[in-house]
Amino acid sequence: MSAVVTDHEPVAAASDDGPATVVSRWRRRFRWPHRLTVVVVAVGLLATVGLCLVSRLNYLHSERRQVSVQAELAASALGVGPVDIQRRLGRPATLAAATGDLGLFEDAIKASLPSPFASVELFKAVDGTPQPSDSLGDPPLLDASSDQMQDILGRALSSGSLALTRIATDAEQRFGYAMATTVDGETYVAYAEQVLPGNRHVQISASSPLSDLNFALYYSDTQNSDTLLETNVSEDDLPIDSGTLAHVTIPYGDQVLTGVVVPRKPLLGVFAASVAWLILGAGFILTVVMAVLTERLQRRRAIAERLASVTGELYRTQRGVAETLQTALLPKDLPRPSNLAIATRYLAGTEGIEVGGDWYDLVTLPDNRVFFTIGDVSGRGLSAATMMSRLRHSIAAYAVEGNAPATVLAKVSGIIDLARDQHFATALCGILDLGTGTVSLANAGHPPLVLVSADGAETVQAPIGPPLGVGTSYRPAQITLSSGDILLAYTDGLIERRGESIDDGIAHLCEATRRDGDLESLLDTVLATLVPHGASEDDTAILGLQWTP
Amino acid sequence: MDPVDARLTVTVGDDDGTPVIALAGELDLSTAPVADDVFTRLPEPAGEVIVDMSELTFMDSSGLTVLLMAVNRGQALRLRKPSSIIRDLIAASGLDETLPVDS
Repeated sequence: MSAVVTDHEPVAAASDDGPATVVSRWRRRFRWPHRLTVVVVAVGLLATVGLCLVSRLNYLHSERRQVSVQAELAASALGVGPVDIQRRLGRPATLAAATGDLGLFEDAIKASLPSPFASVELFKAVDGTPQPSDSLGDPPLLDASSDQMQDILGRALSSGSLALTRIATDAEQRFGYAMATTVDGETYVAYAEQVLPGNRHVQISASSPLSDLNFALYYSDTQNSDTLLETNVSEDDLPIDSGTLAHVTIPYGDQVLTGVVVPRKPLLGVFAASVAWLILGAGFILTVVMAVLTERLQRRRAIAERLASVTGELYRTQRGVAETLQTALLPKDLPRPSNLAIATRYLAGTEGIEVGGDWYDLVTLPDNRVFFTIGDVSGRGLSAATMMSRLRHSIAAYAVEGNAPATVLAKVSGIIDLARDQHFATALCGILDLGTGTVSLANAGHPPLVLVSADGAETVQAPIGPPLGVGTSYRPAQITLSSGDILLAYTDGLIERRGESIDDGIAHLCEATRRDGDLESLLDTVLATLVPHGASEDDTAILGLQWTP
Repeated sequence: MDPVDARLTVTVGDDDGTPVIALAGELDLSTAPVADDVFTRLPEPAGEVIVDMSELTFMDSSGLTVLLMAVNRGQALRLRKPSSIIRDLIAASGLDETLPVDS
């Protein structure tokens, strides 16, 4: 029986270079992973993906906040502009109004030329209509009579605060500011122009809050190439509409500027941006490692379990073989003379899995007699069973020759060589005369017969000679049975218990027997009482004879 | 330490020129080889050998086999202080003369 259990299929030693062979070899080795492994993989992947998502979301949220913060900073910086412009136009106006001296207004304005203003025009309101009054700096881009000029002057006059307009051509771009003032009852409007980058492009210094951002600034809340004021990206990359966007609105005079910003690189750093991917990668690797480990462990456990069950199988099989052999060695069909009821039992011991050396036998002799034997070869295994077989047949042969029991034992003892055979044997044999009920018997180191009569059970006293193989001199004994008496012959498995004397065991046997019911049920009772749960370390053989003349 | 050895300890000693083999523990199927080993190494025949059984708590037919094989090789064994159970076993096996008790 092949009981080798491995995890690897044997691989052919011959040349095996083709890919088809490799594939088929792999296919033979492939096994579905255990359920636990699948669970580990599922949990690992879920956890990894979950963490990765959380990390990514967290990062995006942080970056969005960062962009907003920087956009707000930039907007604030830009929002300072109109305040400054307002001061540059307003202070001189107030001064002039207070002193009634327009010349002061003009002198004060000159401080703002040529920067931030390229030109300043002064208008005087005549019947509500502004008329050009004075001109400082370069000529303005906006024509004094244009509708746009009239519009901004009108707004300045009516609001009393800074009005804004924008003049844009392909090459040039300017802001126009207008602010009204009243001097000596006369109302004047100052119009100033500021130059903006004609190509709409600016470079951002590293210290600016816009330094890590791509941005586009537009005049009013309409965002297209016409309203583009300035940007730090090339016009081909506009509009800015992807990535973590932030929109800003900057009040500028009586208009608004709007802007879009987007980070040009990870604001929080490359590492922070990659954390989610690192988690994904590390989590994936970890999951694979855990899965492989789990699979290995499961397979090893499966192998161990298989080995254990195979071992258990082998043990049971060997016991089965031993029991079969034992049964084969015992006589199958004992003779059934009239006047004699015969019953036998054999109980294998729990100790070990080897065949044992207990036996019983009965042969008929001429003149209505039977020769019975009970025996026990020491130890276990094939050598004990072999000796038992030899003894049984030798005893039967000497018995049939007509020898008395004591003589049979002496002769048989002579054929055993203890040094060679490594076993000795005990045996008890006797001749029962079925006509008269007399029994002559001899004992070679064997437990005594139990006689179960109408008065109860007691042992048959007989001299105990040495075991077979040790001595050669045996003395016979003789008893006479009454009708219905039962003789019990047995081996020491029935009466021997650790820590207990044999005599106590024999006493228990006597107590367990009673002569009501039939012979078979007597043996059952005896076995049930003395060998509870069918468990004795040693083998037990019982031969029961009931004389019924 | 082999657990079998732990259940039986065999010590060889001397009592006025007579070898004394002391058996302590349990002498059964599994521990018998240990005892057998000691008995076979006695020079044969050693004449009289005393088997000290004062510490022997159990013996079965395997132990008897060991002793009987020693007797078969020519050792004359005398048992010292066997327990009453072991004494009963020897008597029941008809071995009173083969394995006499040392008084």
